Parts: sequence; C-alpha cells; structure tokens
Amino acid sequence: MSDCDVELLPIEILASKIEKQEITASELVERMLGRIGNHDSKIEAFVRVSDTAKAAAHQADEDIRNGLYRGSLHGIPIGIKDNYLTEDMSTTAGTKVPDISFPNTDATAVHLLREAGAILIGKTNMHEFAWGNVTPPTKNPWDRNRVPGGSSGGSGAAVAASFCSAALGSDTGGSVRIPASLCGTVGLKPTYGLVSKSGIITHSWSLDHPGPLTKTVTDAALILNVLAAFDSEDPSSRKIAVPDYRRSLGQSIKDLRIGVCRNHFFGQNDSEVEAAVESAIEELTELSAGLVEFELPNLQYGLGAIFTIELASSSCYHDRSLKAGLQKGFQPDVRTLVEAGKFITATDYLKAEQFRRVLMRDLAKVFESVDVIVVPTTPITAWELDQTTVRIGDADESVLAVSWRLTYPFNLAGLPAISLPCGFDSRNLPIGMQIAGKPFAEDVILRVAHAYESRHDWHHRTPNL
Amino acid sequence: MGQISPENLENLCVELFGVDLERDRLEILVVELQGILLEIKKLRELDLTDEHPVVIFDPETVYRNSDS
Repeated sequence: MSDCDVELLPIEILASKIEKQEITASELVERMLGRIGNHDSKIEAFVRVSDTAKAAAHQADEDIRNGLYRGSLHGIPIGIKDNYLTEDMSTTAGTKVPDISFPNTDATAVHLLREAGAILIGKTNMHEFAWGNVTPPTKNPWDRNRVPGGSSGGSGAAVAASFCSAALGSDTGGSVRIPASLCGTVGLKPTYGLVSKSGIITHSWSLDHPGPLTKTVTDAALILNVLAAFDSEDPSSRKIAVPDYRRSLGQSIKDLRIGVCRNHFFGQNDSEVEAAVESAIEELTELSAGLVEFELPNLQYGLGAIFTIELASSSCYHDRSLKAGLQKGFQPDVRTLVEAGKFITATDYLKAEQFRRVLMRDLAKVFESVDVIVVPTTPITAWELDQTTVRIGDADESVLAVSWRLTYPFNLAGLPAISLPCGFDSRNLPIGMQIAGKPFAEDVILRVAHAYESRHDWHHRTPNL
Repeated sequence: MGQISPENLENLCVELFGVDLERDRLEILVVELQGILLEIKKLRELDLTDEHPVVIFDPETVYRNSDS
C-alpha cells in the first residue's frame, strides 16, 4: 500500500496517524472526496455529498493543533444512510415523492458522531423507506453488474469502495448485515435499545436497529463506543453500563462456546457460502471451548411474524401518506408493501408479538449452553442487478426472499449480530459470516469476530474500481 | 342493518376497517402478497394463548426524564 492509498486504511490506523498529525483530517477528506468524484458515478453509493465536510475537517485539524483531540473518530470521514436526519444535508429516506420532507436536524447518532469529531462526508443511497434488500441505483464495487444488498446498500458500497472510512446503516430485517455481507465489509446490528433510533426515519419501531458498516471489527467497536448511549428521546433506549468495546478485542476465545443452529440457517445455501462458513466454524471451534449444535424448530413461523410486524408498522408510520394518496408515487414494490399493512389484523400483530416471546425464550435457552451463534449472513453472494430468482439445490427461489432469511431472526429477538467477511466465492464475490450473541453481549461477539478476522486477510482485500 | 350488497360490503370495509384502497389495488395486492399472506396464515395456526406479547404497557414511560 502506498501513501496514495491512505483512504483505504481502517479507522484504527487512520486515527493514530491523525492524532500524531502524520496526516490531517483535511487531507483525508480531500482524498475521499476525490475518490468519490472519480468513481462514484460508476457505483452511485452517495445520494449527496456534504458541502460542509471540508470546513468540518479544517476545524478538526484546528482542534488537534489546539490540543483538543476528541478520540478515535476525530477527523474520520463517515457516510450517513439517507434515513438519518442531518442538520447540514437534506434527508429523503430514499423517496422521490416531492410532498414528503423531513426536518434539517441531527439524529442522535449523527450528533454523537459530530461530538466525537467525525466528518460527515455525505448521505448514502438506500432502498426507499428502507423497504428492500437491494438499493437501486447503487452497484456492488466488487462487480458493478451486481447488487450491493440493502437497504443500506449505499453505505456498504461506500465503505467497500473506500469513499469513507465507515458508514451508518439501519437494520430492520438485515439491512446492515446484508450489504456488509455482499460488499465484503463488517456490519454490526447492536442489541435493540443500545443505540438510539431518535432522528432516524421509522420503518418499524420495534425492529429497527441503527448500526455501523466498517472495514474491520475493531472499527465497528470504535464506532459503537461512540454510539452506545442512553437517549431519553428514544422510548426504547436502554440505560446500561457501556463498556469500552475495544478492550475485549485480542483476548482469547478459549472460554467461549460456539453454537451452530443446524435448521433454518444451513442446508438451503449456495454451496460455496456454506463451505466457507463451515470452514470458519471449524476454525472457531478449534480456538474456542468447543462446538454446540442445536435446532430452533419455531423458526418456521419467523417469516410470518416479521412480515406481520414490519407490514403493520410501516403502514401505520405511512398513514399520513396513505390518506393523502402519496404512496402512488412510491416505487411499485414499496407501495405494495406499505399498502399491504392494511391487511394485517390486530390479532395477527399481537400473535406475532406473542411469537417473539417464544423465539426469545428459545434463544435464551440456547444461550445457557453457548456464548455465540455462528451462521452465514446471506445464503448467496451478490446477485445480478436484474436477477429475480436464484437456484439453490433443486429449487428456484426469489432472491429477495432468500437474502434476509438468515438475518431477520435476530431482529425479531433484538439480539446483537455482526457480519464479517469469511471468504470469496469463485466469482471473487465476498462471503459473509454472522455471529450473534445474548442481549448487550456486543463485547463477546466483537471478540469472537476479531479472533477470526485477525487470522485472515479478507478485510485487506479491496475491489478494483 | 339490512341486506348488504357486495358494493356496500366494500364501502363498509372502507368505513369500518379502514382498508381504503381502490379495488384494482386490492386485486394487485392479493396476487402479489400471496406468499407473505400464506406465511402469516401459518403463524395464525399457532396456539399462543398463554404467551404475553413482548409489547408491554408502561404507564411511567412519559414521566421519565433524561436523568431517570
């Protein structure tokens, strides 16, 4: 890596360079903006680039010269999914309907990043109202004929393309982890309630989880250190003692038990994905206190439950638009899903919330004998832009249905889950592995993820733009 | 309430149940959502009588401030 490639470095290295004034925030932001200018017309990761990033970087440099270093995110360029409100950039949540607008104020997570000295470099593309697992028109930097995943596809593509050092996403059924998996980045969905949702355009109140997409596991820990905080503006925010998530990284995982759920998560995946994840599980088993295999039969009801909650919540959130007929301007798939919430009865909704307790209890029972659950993130690697079905085994399945099968269970249960690269398939497309843990056990899943990551170079690979 | 014609039934759906979608949209939705609706139908088969939903009413919630 030459000096010209400084923008490819993870935050953990850039932070040290900025603190030691080996590079300035202004130089870094200039390089990132240059990279966006040179290449984003091909990727379309950003919906808008900040007009204030250069000034913010200049201020960050001034602060360092004055002895006010704010920590690891000081001067670091970060992309923001376009459903987080931002004071200095307009927010669209991916919609082009002119009669829908959002206030120019900072979401809590955005405010925390600014306070930590981060430079918000732009707003990233997303599926309209976060309702989908693709992100048109964004392309996957590893193969521009393929999707980056969604709904935080702009964030995944921007990090993979090194247009920013990290980006924020939001995850209702997998929308941080799916693009992370397909774009070869790390994606962390924290425990429900750990990171404030205040100022993020709602998709589903009880399923939405804000989280970062990063180049490395350490970078995810650094960002979580800033974002994990109680917020009285978010009714679901939990006041808990937040550790330094970086502290657990590098520690042995010899005392941890690796759990693998053999139904639902295995047997219906692309063979290369399954082989890569099985190999990673084997490796983690050797490093840890051992492997525990189990099944969760009730997951057969999970898809009905998450659809019920997501459809009803989305329809309720968009009630004002539905009354005004604005949904006619939504993308056809989003319009259908938003209108579909009208079919969900109150009984269906409450039954889904009853089922959630069943699933949470099943998982709590599993966590009596395991510390983490390791499964693939997505059953397939990035699919082609116009592809609608994929053949897995003997069956053709909808790519959209397949893509979130392995991620949504952890939204229903509100558990922390991280996706990280665990290989590449024969088409040189990244493969993602998911590690989930008990509520608020982010330190544990980060520790296991880091133990795996540090033995491989997957995270050093970068796509040719 | 007297006899209900199919047209009136549609109007009643709009008035009483809030399903205020145009007929052509209803038809499109039913076709496009069959897969999803079948998954929800499967969920309905579960007997969860004794399960408390995870939604928990908390009368104190709006009285809390940032310090509590």
